[in-house]
Amino acid sequence: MEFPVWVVPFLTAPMLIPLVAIPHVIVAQFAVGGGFLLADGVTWAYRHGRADALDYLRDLARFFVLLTIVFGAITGVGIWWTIGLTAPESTSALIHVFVFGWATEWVVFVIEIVSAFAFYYLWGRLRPREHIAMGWIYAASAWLSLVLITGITAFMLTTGRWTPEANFFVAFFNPSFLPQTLIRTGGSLAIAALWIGVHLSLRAPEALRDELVPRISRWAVVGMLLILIGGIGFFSVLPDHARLNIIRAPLLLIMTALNFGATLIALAAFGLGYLRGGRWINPPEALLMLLIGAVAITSGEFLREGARKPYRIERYIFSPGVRMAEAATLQRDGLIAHSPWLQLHLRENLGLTEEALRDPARLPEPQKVQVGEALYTYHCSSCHALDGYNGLRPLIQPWTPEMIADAIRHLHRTNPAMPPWLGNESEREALIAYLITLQKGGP
Amino acid sequence: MPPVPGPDPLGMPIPVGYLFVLKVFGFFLHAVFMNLWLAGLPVAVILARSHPRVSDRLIAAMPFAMAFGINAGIVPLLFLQTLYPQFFYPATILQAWFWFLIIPLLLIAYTAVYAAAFGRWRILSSLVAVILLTWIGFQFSAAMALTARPDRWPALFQNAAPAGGVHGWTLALDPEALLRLGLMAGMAFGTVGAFLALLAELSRDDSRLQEQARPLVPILFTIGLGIFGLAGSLYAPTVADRLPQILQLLAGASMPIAWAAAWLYRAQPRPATAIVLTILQGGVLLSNAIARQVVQAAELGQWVDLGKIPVRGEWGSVFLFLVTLLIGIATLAWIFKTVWARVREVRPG
Ligand code: HEM
Repeated sequence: MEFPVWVVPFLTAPMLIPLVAIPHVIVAQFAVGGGFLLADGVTWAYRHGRADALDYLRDLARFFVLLTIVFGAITGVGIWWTIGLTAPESTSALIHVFVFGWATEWVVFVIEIVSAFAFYYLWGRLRPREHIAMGWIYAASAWLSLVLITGITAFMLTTGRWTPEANFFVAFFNPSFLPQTLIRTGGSLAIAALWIGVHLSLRAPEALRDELVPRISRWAVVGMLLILIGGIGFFSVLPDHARLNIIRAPLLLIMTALNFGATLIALAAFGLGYLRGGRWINPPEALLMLLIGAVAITSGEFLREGARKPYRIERYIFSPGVRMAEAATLQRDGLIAHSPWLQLHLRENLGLTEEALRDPARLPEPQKVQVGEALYTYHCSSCHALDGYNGLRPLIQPWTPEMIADAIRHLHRTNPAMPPWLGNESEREALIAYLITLQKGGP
Repeated sequence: MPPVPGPDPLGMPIPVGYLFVLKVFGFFLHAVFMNLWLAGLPVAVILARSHPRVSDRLIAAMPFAMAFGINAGIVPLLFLQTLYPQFFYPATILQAWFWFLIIPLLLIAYTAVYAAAFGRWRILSSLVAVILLTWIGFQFSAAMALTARPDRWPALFQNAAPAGGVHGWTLALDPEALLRLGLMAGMAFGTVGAFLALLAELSRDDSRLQEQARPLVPILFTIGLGIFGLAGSLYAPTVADRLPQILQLLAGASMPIAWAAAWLYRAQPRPATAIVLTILQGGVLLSNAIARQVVQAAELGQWVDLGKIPVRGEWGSVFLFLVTLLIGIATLAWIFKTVWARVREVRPG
């Protein structure tokens, strides 16, 4: 509440996060799983003196390095950009708990980049033993970066025993850390197999494809097993509010179904690849499978993000950026009193006095509505566009004014994915006045 | 009173002194690589016909500069957000779309840099990258300038606040941002000069590169000193009261000293003089990184007393970081040793 709010029409600002994060995850998981698959491939090719396989793997490594180093790195930084812009309080909280976890990840990134460059650019110049070592160093560091970031993202969903006084390790080793690490490790092996499947279908000779597909499918099947074990663990540690969200929200239910469906199809494909070899794989099929893998990742990420509501960080920060510990103060003093940017707008742009800000319900109707509109911006717009994503206007269209008033009064009861009302009574009246005008087409 | 949010109630992970050191170190690292593309790419484009060998080598080096420069940028970004979230976030949120656009633009620029390095439309690709990267550099300067100036926030906010929120299409087009970028660009020409000197002296079998690069080095430093001097003479007076004299002297004089060393290198082009030049140019970047930090701390010191913010004492995670760093350095040492051995082995003659 202390930061200005960026309003992105139609989409809501926080929805920009998945827009950047999902493509990132699809590539970053390839960066991790692909590391293992490439290192394994190179080890096998050298051991068996397979020059043809090495030639192909070099071609694959070029595609891999380009995609992961350029797209993976930039979209990764992009997630930071987006969370800082759309959820500054939560980003700041994460930074203050995890900054040295991220610094550790940075060290790992450096090793990742250097070993990837050495692995690809010195192909044919490194001794086989060195080349193999470079591949495995890359794979290990890429996997470590996955472990480190998983501790941080898992914390947002399940803070576990953490309190603001507790340290980094309590936060890092939170209840969903291990299950999510298993899921993500498995997911990376699986998605990497699908990416490589596309590359193989386009660039590898048929005979080599037949040899390599069972090899990568074996890794992918292990990956699916990890996803299964991790998935069971994940659902067992999920907080009650998150489970309730999944059951209640149609979008999350659809995502769960998509996630299970896509995962099963992928599993079947890997099984087939393992048993039948890769001669039969052609580019459209391989691309379709990659798309199905992308659907599994997208739905999984949506599920994790959506289940978190009404929190950004479980039991610490609510979606509109208010710390749980501050809720009672805001409900007593009012949201405006604790939002310097909102105050600036109301005072300077609308010309309201200090007195008026304390009790906006007593303002004449047009001004009351304007205050309500600004309260919508600060309290609601992070999850509801006016029209568009989770659009408020269509949502409340069929309601009576009494229903609107009641819904705002008991916001959390109206939908447990919403926080309680985080302002005072008078501010709530102003918001209700605005919502009623919204029904009639807006102020 | 500008609407500056309070410091994060979680407190600082460790005492702020350490955080400042890490931030400055990270920014220094970032600047080294970022300089290579900020000035190196335009130089490569301009010299494509007259100095093709220099241009080729610069373009070939760009993907590496980008990879490490972007990676190094993470470090100051981490510590900037730790020390000054209440300034950095509002300054970027006010210009949200422009700040956000950095990501797609950087993606295009990075791809263009690779395309050029792989020989696809070399000049056109490089030119696209030059334009985008210069724009991004300006965005960074605009964001950093606004971060340090909360007094400018209200005016920007009032013009950009539908229903109290920010539409994000405001750009803090500030002369100060241009001067900051000018200072960086001036230093960048020096960094490219030092890089070329080092490259020429390390590539002893590449006489074409040596012929073309050696005379260029002092010219690049002269251009750099000119830009640095111009931007500095306009910028320095505005921050003189916040920068101790010794630092003013160090940051200001370091560039002329490096410029003199560039002429010394021209007179005696040898590995030793190239190394001296590189070290002095490192001094330019480091002294200026420290000076920027001191000015930023003094400016923001008006709005927050960092000394009063409680310290969490996250030493366990610091330990994790240091142990990983040690293992990382050992691993990198092995990789570099191996790479060096194999690269030398393959070299003809
Ligand atoms: C996405 C990767 C990047 C990250 C994470 C990053 C990060 C940063 C950070 C945190 C700073 C401020 C340092 C401080 O004040 O302590 C900075 C400064 C700067 N960066 Fe980057 N950067 C990135 C890419 C770029 C690119 C592509 C350019 C293009 C030229 C660039 C140019 C600059 C410039 C000119 C400054 C100095 C701004 C000033 O102080 O006036 N950076 N960068």
